[in-house]
Amino acid sequence: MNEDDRRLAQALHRAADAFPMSPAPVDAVMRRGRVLSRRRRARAGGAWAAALVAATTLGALTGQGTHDGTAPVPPATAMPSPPPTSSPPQQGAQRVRAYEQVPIGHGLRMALLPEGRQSYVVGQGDLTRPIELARAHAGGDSLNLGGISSGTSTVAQGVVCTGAFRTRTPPARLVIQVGNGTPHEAQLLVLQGDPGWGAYHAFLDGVPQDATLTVTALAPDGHVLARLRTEAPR
Amino acid sequence: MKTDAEAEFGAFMVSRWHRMLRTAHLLTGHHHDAEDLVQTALAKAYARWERVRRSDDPDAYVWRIMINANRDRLRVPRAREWLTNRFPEAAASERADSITEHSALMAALARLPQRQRAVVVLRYLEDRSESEVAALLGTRVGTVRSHAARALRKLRAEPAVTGRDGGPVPLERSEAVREEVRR
Repeated sequence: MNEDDRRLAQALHRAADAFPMSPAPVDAVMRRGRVLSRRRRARAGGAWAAALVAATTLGALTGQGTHDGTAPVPPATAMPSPPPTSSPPQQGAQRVRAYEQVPIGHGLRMALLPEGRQSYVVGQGDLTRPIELARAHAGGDSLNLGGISSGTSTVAQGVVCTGAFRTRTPPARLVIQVGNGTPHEAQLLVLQGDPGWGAYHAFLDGVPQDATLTVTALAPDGHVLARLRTEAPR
Repeated sequence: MKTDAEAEFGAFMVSRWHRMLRTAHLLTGHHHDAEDLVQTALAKAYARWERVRRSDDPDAYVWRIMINANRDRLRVPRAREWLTNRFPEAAASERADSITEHSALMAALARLPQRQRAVVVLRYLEDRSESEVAALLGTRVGTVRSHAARALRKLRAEPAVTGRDGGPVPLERSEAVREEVRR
């Protein structure tokens, strides 16, 4: 290894040493592993069922051709809108200043950063140091256009769901649905100056293990701008 | 009561966790992302543990899972999320300097394409040979060499790497860190 390579290796070691070390979460990882195993087994069983359904459907279509010999065209599908929410829908986002520590309830605050894009900080108490650290690590775009991110924080009363969105037009609303439950209306925050992205937060009474979270951003006319389906993190 | 497989996996995970986390920190640049990456990789390893434990090199198998999970992670849109209840408390006296150097090198790493970054981290943090890196990335030694050469050209332009950051680390500490990585 030459001198330059040695310096690089040393710099990388120092950089790696600067990060914190946490204890190994063995039980949590094994739970996730079991969920993956169950899904893999379910997919293997579902693949056979799907192939069977496809075969029978194809047979039905070709058998039901119109009198001129062409098969009927299945109807065009669009992303379905979520069911009505439990609270009145909020129209539009709250505009905030860069780094402004906005209270979002349950002792939490949220701050949006202009550095990088789609960067925000959320937590309890004073966020000054986390904001400084986040600014130091900010990169470029984190979300593709039409993308949504999601994360959860457990509080005494339940779970706070936060995330960011990046859509072509600003969403009028964003709703979060746990499994097939009633959707919750999220509060939207955007930086002043219309940067093309924003953040959201919503309080959820409880999120069962293995639950699916569906986060949907809606345009003023109600059509779906973006949707994310994710498993609730542990 | 834990089964033999669970106990074996638990021991494997505890002994590899810190090594994997160090690597993941430099692959992702974010503490939260790094933890998530290592947990994802180990969960996938646990889901196929019988296959992993029977392989010729379980470590290489799991590292490949982590490298591939990082590649997949970069394809999925996500925001930088900083949850302060999971964030480190750095020593106050070192914080300003370490943040400056750390941020400069991490920014330079972040500008590298994903494959070049992985090559740099595996070669120079983990001290792996070109053939080991090629096997982990599923590519040829020549490709690893060209990724490394391109990445080094970009990184050498970074002050944190060329030595204008206060000088090299004493050789004893560097050797001790390499020994920990190798273990």
